[in-house]
Amino acid sequence: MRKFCALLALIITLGCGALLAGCSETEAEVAVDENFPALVDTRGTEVKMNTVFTLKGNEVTYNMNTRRIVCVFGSQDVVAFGVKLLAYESSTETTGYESFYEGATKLQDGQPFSEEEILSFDPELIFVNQNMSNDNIETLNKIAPTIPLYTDSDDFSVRLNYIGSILGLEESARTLIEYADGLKDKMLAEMRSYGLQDKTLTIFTYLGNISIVPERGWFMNTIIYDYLGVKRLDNVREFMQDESGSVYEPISAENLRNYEGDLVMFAGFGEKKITTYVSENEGWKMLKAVKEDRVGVIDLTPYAQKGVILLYNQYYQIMQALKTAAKITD
Amino acid sequence: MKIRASRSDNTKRFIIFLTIGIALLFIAGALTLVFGANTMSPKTVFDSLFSFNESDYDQVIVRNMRLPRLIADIIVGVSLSVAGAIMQGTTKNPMADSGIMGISSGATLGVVVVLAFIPGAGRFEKMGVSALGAGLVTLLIYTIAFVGKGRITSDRMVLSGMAISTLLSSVTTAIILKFGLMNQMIRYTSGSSANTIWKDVFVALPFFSSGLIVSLIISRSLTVMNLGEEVSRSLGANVAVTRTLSTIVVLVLSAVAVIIIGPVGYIGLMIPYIARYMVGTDYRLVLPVCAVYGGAFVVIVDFVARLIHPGMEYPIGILITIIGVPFFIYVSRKQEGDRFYD
Repeated sequence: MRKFCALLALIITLGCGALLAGCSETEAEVAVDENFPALVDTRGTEVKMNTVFTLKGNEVTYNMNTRRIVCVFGSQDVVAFGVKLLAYESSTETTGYESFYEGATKLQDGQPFSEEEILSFDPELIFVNQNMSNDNIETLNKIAPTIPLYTDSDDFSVRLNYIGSILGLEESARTLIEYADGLKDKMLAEMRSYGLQDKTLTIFTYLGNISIVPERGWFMNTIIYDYLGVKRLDNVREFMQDESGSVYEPISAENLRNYEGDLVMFAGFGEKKITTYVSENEGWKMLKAVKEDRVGVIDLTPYAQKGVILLYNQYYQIMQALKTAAKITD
Repeated sequence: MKIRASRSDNTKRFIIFLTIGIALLFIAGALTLVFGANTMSPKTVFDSLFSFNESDYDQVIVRNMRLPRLIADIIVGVSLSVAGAIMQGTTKNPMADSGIMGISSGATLGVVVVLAFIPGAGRFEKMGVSALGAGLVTLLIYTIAFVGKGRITSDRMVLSGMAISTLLSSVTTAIILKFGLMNQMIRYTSGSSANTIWKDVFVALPFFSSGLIVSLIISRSLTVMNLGEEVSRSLGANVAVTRTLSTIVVLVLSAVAVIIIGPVGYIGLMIPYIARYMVGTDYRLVLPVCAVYGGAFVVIVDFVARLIHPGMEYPIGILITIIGVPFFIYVSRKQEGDRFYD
């Protein structure tokens, strides 16, 4: 009996191992902008010490010309300056952006970091999240000068100018800001040409139940509702901004229709498709947009991060989904 | 004479409690059809049932959203209560329940495996693999309970079931994270019938009906089995067949519940306990009472869940756990001084 039990336990262990090992990651579809400004790191190689007061109010002295940089946060803006990193944050997906990350290593530990892992790179400058606790920043400061980057700000001129001033690459920052502004203007013009600026839009999602993507945390909302000026129903805005209840509060299928805007999008997590549970939902089927087969589908994942190199793909995916929602063909 | 009086008394109690239970189920069912995110008039409910107009949105809500959800709640309540009663009967432990003993976790793991490796699988495949997962867990529980000195004890089975349940939950979570199934699995892990559609009901019905019918057929044998294996053999009962059939019924009913609502625990613990309090330990009486009160219980809980924040959906699994945990503690404390059937 003991042998049988041992065998059974072995089979289960191997089975679980095989299950976990057998997966393959799906590659995201990324639109790459060929007109992205190809910047190079124009900094000198001599040591150039500088002292700044960080966003947290601490005084930090560091070498502005260092090439030994580790990004625990914000690499999507930093690499746009042509700066080559030693390592970058574990949450970054580099598919489509490989050239920016050449020679850099992805950090393995992102919760929030492994002291040992970062130390192994022997960095001279570390960039972190603005919201990182002072204790953690203090810990990293013992390894190398640590500077928090703007996290919550959606203003690229603020974000990029700050990095430019830290690295002494102010001219590059101006080029990148012009690029970000130009991209925004181009998308706005496209929106207007389609006559979408006066339409209301609702972005549904599915997390066990059908809900609406909350406002905070998803840069997609900033692009759509702030940058592009798309409108939304009052109850949709209230739902998105309501932080008193749980995030992704499940909306009753009976009430979905009350939240339907002129345009409807569905945002998936890590996939660009409407899950079966949504498409079979009776409340969903009753939506006008669903009946008329004009639901724009988008993947939320690329909107979890902000960065100037990500902007083009983020705009592109939104425009594609908006055009589907408005039944516009090229 | 005394025995006859007791049986007659139990039968009277059975009729009274069954009638109350059916009335309760009927009233709760009617309320869930009328009240929800929006209140419907009784006429709308009546029309949606008997002269359905699919262009009337309110009628669609009642007919295609509330009615399948109501039936799903009943199926889940009946399945878990009957499965729990049978498990408690065969293990002679009032704390046996498909959720607590890990069978639901096995069924959930089955669903996760299907979602991970056969993403396009239909409901039948999910049901099959879910039942298979439940079956493997049952085998594992018996195997672990067999190991060591002495005979299988009900306490050892419950403890091994709880340990396996924890292990399988971890494996399930690992697969969910590895395969990015979080959004699909929340439906199965939070315990909600909110998105039930007719397809779910139609897939579950044949399995549910078969499980229920077989459970009623073996109810007499289950009662006899509780007199002890020696006595039941002397009365001509086939213990092995009854045990096998009861295990299959538990697996099928647990899988049905998991497919519809997820691994909700404690229903199979609470309802049979109350049913035995009402009508004694004759399984011919216990199982129908379990079925009616189990169905009514889930319908009522789902109704209350809808009232918490009208227009939004709250998983009933959370409410059931809030009710179930104190009950579990009560039963476990009571069991210390009051051995079940002994």
